[in-house]
Amino acid sequence: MTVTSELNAPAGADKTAFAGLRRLFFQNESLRGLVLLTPTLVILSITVIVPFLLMGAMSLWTQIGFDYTDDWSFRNYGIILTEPLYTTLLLRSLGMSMAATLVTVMLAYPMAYFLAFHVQKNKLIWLIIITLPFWTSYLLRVFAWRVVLGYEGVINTGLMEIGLISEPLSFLLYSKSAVIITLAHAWAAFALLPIYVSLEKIDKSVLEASADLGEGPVMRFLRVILPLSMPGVIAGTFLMFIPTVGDYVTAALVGGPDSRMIGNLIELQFGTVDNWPMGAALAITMIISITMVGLLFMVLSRLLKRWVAA
Amino acid sequence: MTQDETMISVRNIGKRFGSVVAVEDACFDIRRGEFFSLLGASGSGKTTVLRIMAGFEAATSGAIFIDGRQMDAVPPHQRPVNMVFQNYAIFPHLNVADNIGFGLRKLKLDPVERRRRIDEMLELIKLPGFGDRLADQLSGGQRQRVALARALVLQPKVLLLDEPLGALDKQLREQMQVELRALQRSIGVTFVLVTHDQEEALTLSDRIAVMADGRVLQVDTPAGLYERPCSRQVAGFVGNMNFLPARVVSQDGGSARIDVPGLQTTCSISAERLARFGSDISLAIRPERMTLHRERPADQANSVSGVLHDRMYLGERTQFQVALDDRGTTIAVSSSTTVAERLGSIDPGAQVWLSWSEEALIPLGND
Ligand SMILES: Nc1ncnc2c1ncn2[C@@H]1O[C@H](COP(=O)(O)OP(=O)(O)OP(=O)(O)O)[C@@H](O)[C@H]1O
Ligand SMILES: [Mg+2]
Repeated sequence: MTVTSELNAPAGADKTAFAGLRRLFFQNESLRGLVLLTPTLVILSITVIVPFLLMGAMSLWTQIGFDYTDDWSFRNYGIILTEPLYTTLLLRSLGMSMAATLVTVMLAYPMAYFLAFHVQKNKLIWLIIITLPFWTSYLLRVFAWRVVLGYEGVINTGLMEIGLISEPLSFLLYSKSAVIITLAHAWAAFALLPIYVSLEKIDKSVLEASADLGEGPVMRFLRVILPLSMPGVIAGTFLMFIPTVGDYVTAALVGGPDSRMIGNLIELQFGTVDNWPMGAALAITMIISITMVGLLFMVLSRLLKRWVAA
Repeated sequence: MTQDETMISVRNIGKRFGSVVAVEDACFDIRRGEFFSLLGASGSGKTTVLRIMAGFEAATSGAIFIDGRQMDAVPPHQRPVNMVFQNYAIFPHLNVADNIGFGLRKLKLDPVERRRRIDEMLELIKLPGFGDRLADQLSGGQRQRVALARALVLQPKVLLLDEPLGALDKQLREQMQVELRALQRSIGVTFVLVTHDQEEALTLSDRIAVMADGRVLQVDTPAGLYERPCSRQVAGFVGNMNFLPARVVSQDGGSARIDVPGLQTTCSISAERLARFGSDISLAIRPERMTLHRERPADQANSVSGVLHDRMYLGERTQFQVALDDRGTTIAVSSSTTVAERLGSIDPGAQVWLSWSEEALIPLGND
């Protein structure tokens, strides 16, 4: 290799060594990528991988009183899998997140479609308007929904005003639907933007080609637009689904007793209950479940794509 | 032309985009099995006419008939035409076989038959075994063929091609021209080709419509366009042409004689055409229809003297620029290089003579 021969060059060894490294850097793409990634990798490993490993280790401990036993065991996981409370909460969280994600993707898709195919001018302004709610803090948005859905909130007083109901509807706030609505709204931009980008990238002549080859509007959508925008849908789904499963603020503020999520339980373990090993085990279980659901989703969407395209 | 021979009938088609007039009063017929081209400079409205045929644009006025059926209310996916797009528009999420088979879904073929038709097409476009490739694993010429196969597998009555060879390099383009022409002959489908390359139009087409500024100037065979252009614009667009300002010298009954002031040459023109051109007329002559001499020709008529300005070697042909005596006009003369060599070396500045026959002169209006 040229580099080693230059490194071994006797004259001006320092300079050529540097030049050799320099050449190596500019010729070797994967090395260059690695070097550019290094800061990210360092930060990621300090802030994500190390804590994750620590948490994995901690989840194998057991809390006794104010102390831990440090014999390694899967006792916590055993409890999670057998105790109905934990499994219920976990499944409920996954279910509610899926519902919120589904609602958001279904609502975001037409919006993104409209933006990508029917707005000709000032797309940026439209994008800003649609993402405007995300300029305010997350807490503020959740509180806004309390105002909208509350006992004396906008919907209830409005409906009473026009005489549709005689007393406030109590199921609006502090319910599963309140959590799902709030989550769907709070994370909408994360689903919308990737879908918009993937739709925007579709070459319009490909749509004309599919019309030319005999497909009407519905099949054009199913056979061309949908498969070509699938990467955006998948990205949007993950961006929305992953953080919402673990969300506990929303459930705490607008949810009722029937809509506590796994995040609330984990928070309890690390806070009031003070059972960190259990909290860690719950967190790990959640991550594994999310990964499994995600993988399942990927496989399904790939099968779907193949099925509609052919 | 009987109804039976006409495949596409374009009746007074007009198209406006806001205040832009893209096509104005286009009127022509395309025959069954014909290789027809729309030729014109950039922005002349060729693509718009093609897109109106395919149904992607609605004409602002006029009507289109395909195979005797009026098409105005028929959406693109129900028209008996298929199109090869300028950028090919290959589906990026499908492999070559599924691209070609895209339009076959409606026929509800069993998988074996579908496969057979796709393979047949791959064979036709000389890409057997390419079925599993994705679009981005193909070269420009290969994509072009896949786009062609995708349209032809549906056995359309008409194939529309929008500058299908525009993106290819010269060599590949010439090869594809030959293949396209052979393909059209062998399957007998009506082809409508849009091109701005006059050479391409001349070599490929049975007939050509020349367009400029949204108007169809002339519809004729390649030889007809070249030998009998109907206007100065067409003459200038198809091949090279010299124009000499002319005047009417005598008129009797059905015909008139015109000449070029200062030149001993005349030709006759029917009074009817003359009336159409008005008083502002030219005589046009192709560079290769003139002969260059070093000596004064014996026959004084139909010749003129001048000074050689420039000599350009173009390979097969050699072109001379001759400045006519006592007038600013420069005329291009071209002869085959073998003939030019026989003249020996003539230096710029030398006195030369040009001669031609009366039949080579084309009287044209100056519009
Ligand atoms: N969608 C549109 N909106 C507005 N004007 C248009 C549109 N499509 C075409 N035009 C205009 O109509 C005229 C004809 O366009 P057209 O695309 O038919 O030209 P063309 O002959 O195909 O040119 P080229 O050889 O460059 O492709 C042009 O002046 C063009 O600017
Ligand atoms: Mg065009």
